[in-house]
Amino acid sequence: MNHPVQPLLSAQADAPYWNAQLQLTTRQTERGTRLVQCEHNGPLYVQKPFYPEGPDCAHLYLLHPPGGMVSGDFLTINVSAGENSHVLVTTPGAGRVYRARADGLLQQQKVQLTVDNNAALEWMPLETILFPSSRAQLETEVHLGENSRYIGWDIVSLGLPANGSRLDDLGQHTTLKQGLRIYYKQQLLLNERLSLHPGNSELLNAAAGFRGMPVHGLLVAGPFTQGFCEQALEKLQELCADQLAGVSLNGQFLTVRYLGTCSEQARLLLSDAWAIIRPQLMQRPACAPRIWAT
Amino acid sequence: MTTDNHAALTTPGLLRLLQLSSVSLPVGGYAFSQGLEYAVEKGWVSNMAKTRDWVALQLHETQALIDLPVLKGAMQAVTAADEKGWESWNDLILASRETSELRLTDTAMGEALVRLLKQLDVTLPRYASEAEGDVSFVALYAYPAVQWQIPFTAAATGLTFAWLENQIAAATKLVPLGQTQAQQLLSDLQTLIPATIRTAEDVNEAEIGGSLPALAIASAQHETQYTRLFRS
Repeated sequence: MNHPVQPLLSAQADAPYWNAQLQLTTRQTERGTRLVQCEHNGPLYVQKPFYPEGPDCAHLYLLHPPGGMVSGDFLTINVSAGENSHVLVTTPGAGRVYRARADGLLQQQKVQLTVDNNAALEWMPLETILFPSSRAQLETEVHLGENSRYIGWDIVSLGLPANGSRLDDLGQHTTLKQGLRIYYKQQLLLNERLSLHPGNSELLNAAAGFRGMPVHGLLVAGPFTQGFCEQALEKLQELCADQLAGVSLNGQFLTVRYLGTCSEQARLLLSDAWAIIRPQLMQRPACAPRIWAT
Repeated sequence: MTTDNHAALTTPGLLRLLQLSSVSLPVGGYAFSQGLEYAVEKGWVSNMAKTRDWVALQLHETQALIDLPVLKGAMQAVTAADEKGWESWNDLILASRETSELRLTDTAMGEALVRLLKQLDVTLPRYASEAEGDVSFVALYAYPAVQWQIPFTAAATGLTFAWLENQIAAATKLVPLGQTQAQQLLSDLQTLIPATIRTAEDVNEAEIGGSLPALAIASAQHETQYTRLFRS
């Protein structure tokens, strides 16, 4: 059910902020994976599923017309892949976290992905751009059922490197709290955090930290309960060899991590990695969402 | 709940802490460089000052934000005889290791510590004594610490010092550094430990996790490094 879009007002009448929620549920039926629930509140929605690779895998494009978050915004995205269904979620454009207002309210996004038994979910949004002096809290939680499979990535650009906003300036006022937790049958299997704030701005240029690179990308795929094909792992290692990137099979999850200067390059690396991983994990060749080509 | 974090360390407790923190504790920490071997090969760490920065940042980001908050939570669970609680700290720290090498460092040392503690009559959780899954060295350290009446602050000091000594020993071989330089670094970096522990005491469970992407990449790349002195 769709509700009319209404801005919620903060204490200051001149500083409106959006609380937007989206709930998506897929179910596997005789006609393939159907989007059976698509409820939104606020400017965040999906128009209709696309089926570029047949009825058994739905591609969904998340639309967020404001294009970014201001102070006080809170986006909640819940995607639930029902038993045996397969859903791929992406976005048509970069997400932005704008400069915070003087009230300094957090700009928050909470994503909860639930993958029921034997279902598959792919979470591949375009990059999130953090404007200087933004205050972002981006949390993703993934709950996996028996024999379910997940591939997800997050690409974050610190500032707008193309516009010459410098990391050093960014470090002065920007805060980022980004977290990813993956549970398999309620057991925590992966916990990843990036926490940047003025108190640790030396991280941005540190040898062990960001090395002056404004773009961080991380792809996570699994669980691989029976290990991962050796040749495919070698291909991933070759992919990472010439870049500031690394692949590791860590417990039951494969991770591919990128540091660099360009979010386009990050996405190319991670989607090349996805093309190698997807057939292994989901028994499907990669089929890039059409929106990426536009 | 933090009242006994800073309880006085008795002499028997201190002796046990020295035993646990000694380089002769047979858990094999010296076998891992935790990304440093790749960082040296790439020229990221090439002298004493750069070694200092490399290691200091891990104190701020990894020891203060992962290892020590987990040790604190695990010690509280052990004190409360809450084995399930301890298991979730064990899960959390292993889930927080960013690469196979960093995870193996913790689990290989954890496995060795299980074997050792069984011979030293330390009571272990069923999960560890029955080998039900991977055991983190850091999480398991809570058992002897509590049983031997070592308060959190002291246990955290010993654990961090032992980690620091391993990193500097690795740097001594790899960078390389002289023995005197190694002692100078140890003198310098150990002064950061008290603040590291204070930070750790205020970290919430939900905030646990490190933010060192280049170290994680170095550790991942180490798995395919052509010549290696250290395990991966």
